[in-house]
Amino acid sequence: MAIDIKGVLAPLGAIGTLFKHPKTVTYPEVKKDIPIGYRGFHINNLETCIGCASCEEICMNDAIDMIHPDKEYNPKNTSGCVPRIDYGRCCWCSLCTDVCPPGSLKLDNICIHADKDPDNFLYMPKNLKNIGENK
Amino acid sequence: MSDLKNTIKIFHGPQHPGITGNMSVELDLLGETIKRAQTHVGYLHRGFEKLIERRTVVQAFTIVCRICVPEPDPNEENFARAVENLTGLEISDKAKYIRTMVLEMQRLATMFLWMGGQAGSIGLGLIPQWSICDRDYMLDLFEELTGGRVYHMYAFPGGVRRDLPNGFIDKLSELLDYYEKRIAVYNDTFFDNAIFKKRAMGIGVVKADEVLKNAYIGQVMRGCGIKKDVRKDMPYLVYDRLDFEIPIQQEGDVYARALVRRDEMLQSIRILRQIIKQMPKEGEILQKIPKHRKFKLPANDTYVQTESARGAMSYYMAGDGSEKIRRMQVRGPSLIHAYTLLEKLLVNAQLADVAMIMNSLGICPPEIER
Amino acid sequence: MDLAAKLKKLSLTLEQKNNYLYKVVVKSEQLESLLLSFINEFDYITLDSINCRDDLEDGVFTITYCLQNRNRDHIVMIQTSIERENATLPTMHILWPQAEIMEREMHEMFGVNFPGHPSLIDFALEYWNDIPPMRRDFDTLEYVNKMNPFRGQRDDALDAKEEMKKRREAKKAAKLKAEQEAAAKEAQKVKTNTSEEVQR
Repeated sequence: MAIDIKGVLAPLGAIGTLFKHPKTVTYPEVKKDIPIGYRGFHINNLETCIGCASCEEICMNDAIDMIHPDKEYNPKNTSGCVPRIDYGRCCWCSLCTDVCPPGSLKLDNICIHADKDPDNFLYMPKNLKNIGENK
Repeated sequence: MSDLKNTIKIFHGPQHPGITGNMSVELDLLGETIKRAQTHVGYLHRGFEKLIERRTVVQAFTIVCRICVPEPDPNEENFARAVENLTGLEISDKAKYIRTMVLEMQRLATMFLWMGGQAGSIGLGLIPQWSICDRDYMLDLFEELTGGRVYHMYAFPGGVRRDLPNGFIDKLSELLDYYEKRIAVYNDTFFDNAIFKKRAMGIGVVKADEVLKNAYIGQVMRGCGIKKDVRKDMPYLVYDRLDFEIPIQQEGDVYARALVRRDEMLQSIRILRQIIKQMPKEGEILQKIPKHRKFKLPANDTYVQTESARGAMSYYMAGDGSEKIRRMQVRGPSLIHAYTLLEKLLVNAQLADVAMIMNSLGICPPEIER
Repeated sequence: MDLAAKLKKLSLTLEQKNNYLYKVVVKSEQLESLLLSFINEFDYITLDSINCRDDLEDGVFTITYCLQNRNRDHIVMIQTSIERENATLPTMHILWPQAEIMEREMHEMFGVNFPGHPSLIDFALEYWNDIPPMRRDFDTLEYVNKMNPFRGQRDDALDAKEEMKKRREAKKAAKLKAEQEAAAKEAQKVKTNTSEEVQR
């Protein structure tokens, strides 16, 4: 029976990778750059939000509720309500940001959150104007 | 049955390193030889077809990609093309090139995942470490283009959702050069490895004369010498303008299917380089469609097929004149491979080869039971 | 084409949807003989899928058999309708072994019966004791609300349209009140003017 010399010796070339630099990113000392445009958490510019509830109507998981904010930010807000999102149901499809008429609801590029309390999943979007300001 | 007299029954359970989902096989063993096998699914039933009946077209497009977990893009492409067939939408050239590019990128990423599974199922733990890392570079490119790493939600009826970012084409070219060097390394360590050849040759042989009647598709068909592919026979998007080949092998065993997949990876790199050269600079990204409660589907039905990394995936879609989808049925390549083919192949096989055979048939449990 | 002419002899029409897809509608009694003639005469040997659609308003199930030819470049959809009550179809698992698993799924999800089938057992649902779930009269929202407790923290949700209406009416009422007050002040001013004139 012929011995397959190439098949026995060629895999031993993999030992060379022992001496190369590893490709693992040593999180949390080194953090990876997440690009702008990644679908992360929501931000909502309360000065331009008009409370039209288009986001609530298109959300296909029924994750958005309209509630009264703590004070009035925009006198042109027709219903006096702003969106609050249930992060147990949201799937980050960004349909709500595509349909928002004044363009106030956006998706930021942060995505890391940890909490010890399992009942703490209702999220009020931060009041920011642009993506990338939240650090 | 006198065959099953002194057998032991074990459950080759739903958690197994050789497969990309949860599926179990109930085996009757005599020593280490299998006398009968029965497949059980049901761990991943999420009820997608019923969910889609309550939603409009725009809302349903966001959940279609989750039907098949390791390979979401052919699902989105099928859905978009079925809606375009029913309503008569035409998409621009640039959108067609971008959608083809995304499909081929997804094919490369899935092949790396398959390679990790195939090597892991026979105990060669080095290859999954390398191939998951190489797949991660492709997922980084997807993150820049679409906003998500695994579930893209990008191919919309009428085109695509976002334009290409600046510098994307150069990054893609660099990654393709890197992949060509890596496939040469995988050839040395995995495909020419004497251990893999000894374990995989002659196992799980599929005969060529029953392939077409029983609808075995994908690499099972091409490993038996039948040269058919949806991209050449019923071309869609821009595949009729691109130059590529369909690799085949003749033996029909596990080793032949692995070689077919390796050659398909090289053909994918060739297709991507042609797309980069031919991509038009100007063009409309997304056609205008009515608001989502006013976008009505006509009372008609259609059937579309797309070539995924594991075979031809088909969708049946029917509308009824309202804005909701009346019926959408998914027929993935794994339904027949997991039941009709697997139960036949496992008779008189050894227990240690079960994971290797399951992985080489390309079985993906999420799309069997949606 | 040969196919259209031959089907015309059996008094069936062939509809061409695009350059690779055809469709034929047939009565359920002629289904099996038509499938056999497609295999033997026209070389459509592959059964790709069996699809079922529940037309609750007409009281029928619409079943579609999708066949593909040996060259794999044309697909034909053969469609038939059967009654919803006591739905039965002839089993095809002798012609095509893959029909066994497709018919098992249709039996579990829609309740269609296939006499002579070797294994009509459960496919994806275990210990299911309700009506077949893909039928259109099974309400999944009601089932989910019955079986699952919810963490009720979203009870302070408001309806935006109601709020808009309330605000509009409040604004209108405020405007009306302001107008009434202005009119009353005008009337008061006119009265004092006339009384001043009278005094002079």
